[in-house]
Amino acid sequence: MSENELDTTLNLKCKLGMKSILPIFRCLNSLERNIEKCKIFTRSDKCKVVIQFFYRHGIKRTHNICFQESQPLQVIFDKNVCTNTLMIQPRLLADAIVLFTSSQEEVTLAVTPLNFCLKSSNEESMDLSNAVYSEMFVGSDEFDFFQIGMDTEITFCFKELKGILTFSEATHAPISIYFDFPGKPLALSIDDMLVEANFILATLADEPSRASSPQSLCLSQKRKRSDLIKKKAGKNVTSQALECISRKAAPRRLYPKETLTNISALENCGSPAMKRVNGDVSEVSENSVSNTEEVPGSLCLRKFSCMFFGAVSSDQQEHFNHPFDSLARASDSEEDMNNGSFSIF
Amino acid sequence: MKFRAKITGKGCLELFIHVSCTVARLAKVCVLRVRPDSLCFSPAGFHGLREAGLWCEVRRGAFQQFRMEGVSEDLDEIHLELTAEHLSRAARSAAGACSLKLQLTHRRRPCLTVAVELASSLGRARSVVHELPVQVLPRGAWRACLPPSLRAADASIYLPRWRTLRSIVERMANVGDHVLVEANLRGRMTLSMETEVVSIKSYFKNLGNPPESAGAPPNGDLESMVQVRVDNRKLLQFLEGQQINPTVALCNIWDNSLLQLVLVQEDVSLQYFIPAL
Repeated sequence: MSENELDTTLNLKCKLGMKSILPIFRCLNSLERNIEKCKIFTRSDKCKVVIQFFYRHGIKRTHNICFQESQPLQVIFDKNVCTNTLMIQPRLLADAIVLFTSSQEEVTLAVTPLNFCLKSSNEESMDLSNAVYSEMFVGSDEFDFFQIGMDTEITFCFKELKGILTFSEATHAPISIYFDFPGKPLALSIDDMLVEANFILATLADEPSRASSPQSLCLSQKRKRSDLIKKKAGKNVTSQALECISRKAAPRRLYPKETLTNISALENCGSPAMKRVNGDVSEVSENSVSNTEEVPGSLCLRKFSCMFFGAVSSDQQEHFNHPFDSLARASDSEEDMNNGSFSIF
Repeated sequence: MKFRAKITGKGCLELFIHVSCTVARLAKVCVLRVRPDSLCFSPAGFHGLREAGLWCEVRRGAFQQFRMEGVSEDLDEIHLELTAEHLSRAARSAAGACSLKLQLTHRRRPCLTVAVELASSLGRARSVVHELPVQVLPRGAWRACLPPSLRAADASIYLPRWRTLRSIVERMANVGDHVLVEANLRGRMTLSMETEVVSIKSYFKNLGNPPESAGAPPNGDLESMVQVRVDNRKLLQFLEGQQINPTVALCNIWDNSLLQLVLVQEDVSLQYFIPAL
């Protein structure tokens, strides 16, 4: 949100370095005690975000942070159509996972209509003979909302869950968890008076039994890289592979291309409705990337996580009502693909 | 081979957690000996008293339920080797729990299953289960797990107040690596250390000597101090983090060869041997 001289609001999408922002808001206690007002605005002529703290006695502190314009990644994921929905106070879940002492990277969530169980990922505990296997049950009555459409077991990154819970304890709203079957992303959502946050985590896909869509150049490059990683590292390769892949921002580059590929694949199959494309693209994209031509049984987990924050304010309603707006719309014509809303990094 | 035990009392639970954590601090891999009337921890791969070692015994009385069946009727024991930290982490998840259950199970490989039942803050039940991989030790390896049997100590004395002892040893550790421990059978104990620059000496008196210490000092004089020089850091490792209130805390000294610290609380006993330098 920015204002220029003409007092119109522009919808600015930019990114700021975390290392620049964090020190400014570091000492929460002293901030709360001494600061009367905080003003944040942009100076687009200088590509800076200005954060001003107004202290007592007329003291003013100003921070100028450079930003970079960016097109944020958007995920095609509709949490409302998920089969399984849970809602729980973050404190309760955080208390529960403290008991989960395993130091493994991934955790498996197994739900039935009556039970919620977190357990060590089978994948890892089988590889390392000296790993502890843990299982933890949380009664369904601890949840504010517990709706399980089908018995599911999904595996995702534990560290991210812990981080998200730490964050959500700062708000006082319950955290909602939306998920479906393995391979389809999992969403964790917090809706407070002031903040709405959505975290999308990738989940481990099952054995890829579906036929993969035509491989684009990017996909084959990615496979080469994970091949290389698998050959170099011995054990515990899966997690290393995903570290490399996610950190090097491969998914970012991949995503729009995948969408393109998969839409054309679906078009070839004659899938008509836009809604279905929206729902299906994410799942097909997950599967198409899993490497069917590698050693059978090897699984590739893409740690694709992104966060959307919406500050709830009346001016911006129309933009934040649909945080999961699809980036690419299915269409029959090429021109639509090339319009401004679709960008390739 | 069967083993199944359960702890339900708060005090016993805390004690067990404490023992697991102490063992994990002092040894990477430990041996769990399940005997008909107790559970014993000993260091794995122990090669005589050339290195410091911790032995713990948790007697059957600490458990509300204790059932075991050894390897055979003659050899009514089970020896398991496991990573101490796994056990301590699992035990720590039982802080404030209702109960902790230990069981020997087999799930793809032999495991010690630790099952914890908790009541959450709102009074609802919650449970965690940890399966710790263990290795069942063959009979040939059993002898190495027993605590050393020694002649009577040259001097045996009750330890001073734990906190005092710990803070003194802590400060000495900042200055140097060795500490000289001396004691006599008249209730006097001295801790001292010396470097080029500084020498520190702490005197304790009226500590009292255990009545069982029938050991006679080398020259028959009750006043003469028996001494042993040990690695300060090893001593500190044992002293740190001990939050229990031992009913008995004493040390035994073998002149110029060995220091043994013994702590007893209810059904738990810990003994730590530190060889002389």
